[in-house]
Amino acid sequence: MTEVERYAKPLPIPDEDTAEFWKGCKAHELRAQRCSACGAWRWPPQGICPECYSWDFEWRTLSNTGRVSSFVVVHHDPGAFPDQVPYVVGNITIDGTDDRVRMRSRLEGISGEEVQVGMPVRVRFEDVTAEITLPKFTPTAGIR
Amino acid sequence: MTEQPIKDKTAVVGIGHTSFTRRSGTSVGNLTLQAGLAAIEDAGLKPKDIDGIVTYFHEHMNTMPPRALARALNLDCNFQVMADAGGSWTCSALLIAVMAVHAGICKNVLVYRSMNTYSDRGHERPPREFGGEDQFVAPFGTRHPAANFGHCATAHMAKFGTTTLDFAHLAVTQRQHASLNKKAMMRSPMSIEDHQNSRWIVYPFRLLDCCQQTDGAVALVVSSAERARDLAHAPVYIMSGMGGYGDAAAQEELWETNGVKIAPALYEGAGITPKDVSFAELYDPFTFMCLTHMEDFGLVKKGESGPFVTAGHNGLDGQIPINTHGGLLSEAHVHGLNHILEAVQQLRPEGVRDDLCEGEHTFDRSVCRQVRDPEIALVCGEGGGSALLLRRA
Repeated sequence: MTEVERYAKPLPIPDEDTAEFWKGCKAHELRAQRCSACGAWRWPPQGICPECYSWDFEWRTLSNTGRVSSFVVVHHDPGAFPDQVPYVVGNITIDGTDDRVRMRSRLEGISGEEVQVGMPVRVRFEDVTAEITLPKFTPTAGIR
Repeated sequence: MTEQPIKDKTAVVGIGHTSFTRRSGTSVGNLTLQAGLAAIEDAGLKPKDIDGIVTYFHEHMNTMPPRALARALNLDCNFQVMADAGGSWTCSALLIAVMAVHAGICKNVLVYRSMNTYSDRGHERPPREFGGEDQFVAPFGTRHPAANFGHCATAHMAKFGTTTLDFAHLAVTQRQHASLNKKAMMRSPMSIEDHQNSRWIVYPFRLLDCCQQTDGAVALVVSSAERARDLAHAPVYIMSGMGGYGDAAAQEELWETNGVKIAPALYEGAGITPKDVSFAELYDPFTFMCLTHMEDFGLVKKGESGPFVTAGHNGLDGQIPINTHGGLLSEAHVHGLNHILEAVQQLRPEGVRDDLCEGEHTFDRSVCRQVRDPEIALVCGEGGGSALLLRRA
């Protein structure tokens, strides 16, 4: 059994709306939908544009960078990650998405004392199983 | 200004609750019956007078289903609702009873929330794979409510300079209120130092920023204003209500809740302004959420809730007493229905009946938690998802 097969933490179940996002992660790209009618970004993925109700969209490859809009530092986790505390979870606003694509994800390579709102970050893809790759983030300056 | 057609047309006429504990030793069905029968008796009604039932839960169906209650008491109901909606639906639960009565579908509606949340942790083993919205949070270890709502807090701290010391002042004031409440679970004194020295759960929240879990039940009876005048207690009228629900942690401005969206119509619906509010019971699973509710419902200017609570303006004799029972933080977590229970008690002519006063209220803050001469109360649910304005008779 390889390391990847032994991954025992929570995994996403991609569905009709979100499969392309997870496919992008597997290809080490961040992807989101952009409305073909009005140009609004959609996040999380959904069938219809919440602005103009158009069903038309195209998947776009996003920037690999963003900034921390808010964050928490988990010191106590009753769920699946008690072995990893303390860990930082950022609310990351992806660059070039009109502040619409915001992802909650791990911020790695930085401590809870160092993290700040507004900090620039870059995505780092982690292949956790044969099918699933998780997008995590590290500070753009001084990646450890 | 458009007042809501329901204004003052219905009233809370009965209140009941069980004791709030960490181990009820009984079923949620029995808790419901204890609280429900107490509320019906308090109203001066008989069980058979109840013809509508409303309850709610969050993800885990751990309240008593309406049809089970109807069977247990052999009731004939015209309307029953059970919503999977959580604390954001607290005030919507009462509001839907108001609507059923105002529409003439029901005469007397019993609203309740019963739970054994402290002792029954059996549901907490999470699955390994997550679909829907959870697919974007569970793999990163951020499904915990403190991790969810903490983002709103750190965004507010970065924007307005709010600190965890502000959180401490709120927690300490609410504990003082709870110390004057016989049914509160947490009544021992808390100091600022106690708060600041308590361990981190999810930054920016320490242990004493987080509410507790509770075994217990609260029940309320809603009837028409006309019928209320013949019942046992002075009615507490529902002036207006809103139930926008909303996603507390996904507003355009990260430091705000859904409250900013529903507050204008709530006040217009009652024909009042935030200045007319005598006191408020604001949903507080974490200290910060109560702070942002003060701002989002216009009791305090945006960004100024920290200094407001540090100055003690949320105390029983402050500018606007807030969470006069101790809140979810120090009284109990009954999904916010205990907030409405407290507002009704405060607005009755006899005032709260479970503080430490013997006989008349003295306003001596070593025994009395009755607010002085309150007229109008604001209550809100989690993330400003729902809200009510209530007034005394």
